[in-house]
Amino acid sequence: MGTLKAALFAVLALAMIHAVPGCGDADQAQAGSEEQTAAPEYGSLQFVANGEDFVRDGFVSSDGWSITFRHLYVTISDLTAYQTDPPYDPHSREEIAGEVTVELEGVHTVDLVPGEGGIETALVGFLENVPVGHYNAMSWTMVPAADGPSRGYSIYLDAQAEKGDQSYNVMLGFEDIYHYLAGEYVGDVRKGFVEPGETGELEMTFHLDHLFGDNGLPVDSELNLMAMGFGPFTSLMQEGTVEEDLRSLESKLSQSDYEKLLAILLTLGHTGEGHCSCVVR
Amino acid sequence: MRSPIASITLFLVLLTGASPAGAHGARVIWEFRGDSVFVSAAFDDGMPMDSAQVTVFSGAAPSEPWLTGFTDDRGGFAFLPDRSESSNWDVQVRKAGHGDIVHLSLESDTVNSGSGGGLSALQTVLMSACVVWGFIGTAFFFASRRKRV
Repeated sequence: MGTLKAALFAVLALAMIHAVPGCGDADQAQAGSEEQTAAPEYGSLQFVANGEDFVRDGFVSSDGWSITFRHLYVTISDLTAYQTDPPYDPHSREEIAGEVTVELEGVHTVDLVPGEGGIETALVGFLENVPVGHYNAMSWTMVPAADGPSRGYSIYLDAQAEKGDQSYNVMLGFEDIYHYLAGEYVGDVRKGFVEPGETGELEMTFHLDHLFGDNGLPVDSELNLMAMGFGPFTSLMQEGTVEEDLRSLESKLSQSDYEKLLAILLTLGHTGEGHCSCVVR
Repeated sequence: MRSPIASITLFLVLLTGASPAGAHGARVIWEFRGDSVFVSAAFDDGMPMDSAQVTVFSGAAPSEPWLTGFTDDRGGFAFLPDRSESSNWDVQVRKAGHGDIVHLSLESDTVNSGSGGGLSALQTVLMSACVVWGFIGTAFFFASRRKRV
């Protein structure tokens, strides 16, 4: 009988644990409905993509190769911004539940290497008449481009790799589809605020140092231990050119290098310095 | 000096909530210390984010830094929020290209983690299991006492 009472007590305790957040949810829902009764105000929201100085100015890989980008194309679709409360945590890997959600329609290919006199970030798209507030989460999907120089690839880089008297044209295309879930932008300024009649901004940031490493960091730094460097690609050279995609790399790279590459590609997308959840679809 | 509660919580958060892409992310947790807020920041591998750049934002003016500073050698940072100004605060911690921002609601929990304090399903299950196990243990303790009487 005592055991039965103990079990009953435990079940009641468990029910109480789950009941308390339920009350909180109800309060939030009520607060949300009260907010919805106020007349909404509107502004604009622009989406930009940024390859950072690594892509704009070039850099030296962890194994000493000087990498200079001519083009770095990314193709983005299903770009969605959210206002979430509480703020979305990408570590949860759960889908984003936004109280306010706005989506940029279409598929957009942008080059993260700016042209002569170009600005640092590439404009992906612009939304007018979005509800004001703080867009503190976003999601996007990277899909193979339907046409243009990066046709067939969601990420396509055209670069020059040089070390001593060696110089390679490097054209790498990645054809997988990547779905990103991101929390708030982390950087020098906070982003995503839309004020009445004003334009807010959200940024997708791509960290190419994850792929090739960064000679400016210690060899045993976490980033350089994770990165491939450029060395594994030199064995694929044909007449001074490395031109590969994931399908060909799977058969040409060692299994460990190929698996490392697949893992790295999941880490390229960020919001500033904030990390994202990414899966291949 | 990080408190045992903060250290254990950060350990559990890192243990059960690995980086989204399995790499080198950053995690920030916070707790009350009296009227102050104490923030602990670490990389996903558990290394403290020492000397990391900290920016505190008040809910009253969320796009403008309210306070800036740096973490100590254990990734810790403490500040005294002006509760008359707002009960909602955000703290961003950045170092070497990695960063995280955590939302603080001063009217809620005493120990929070991550980008906004959300817990993963695994973390929720783990914490719920610990609490339920505590209740069960207590119940069996009292049940066994009644039997002896």
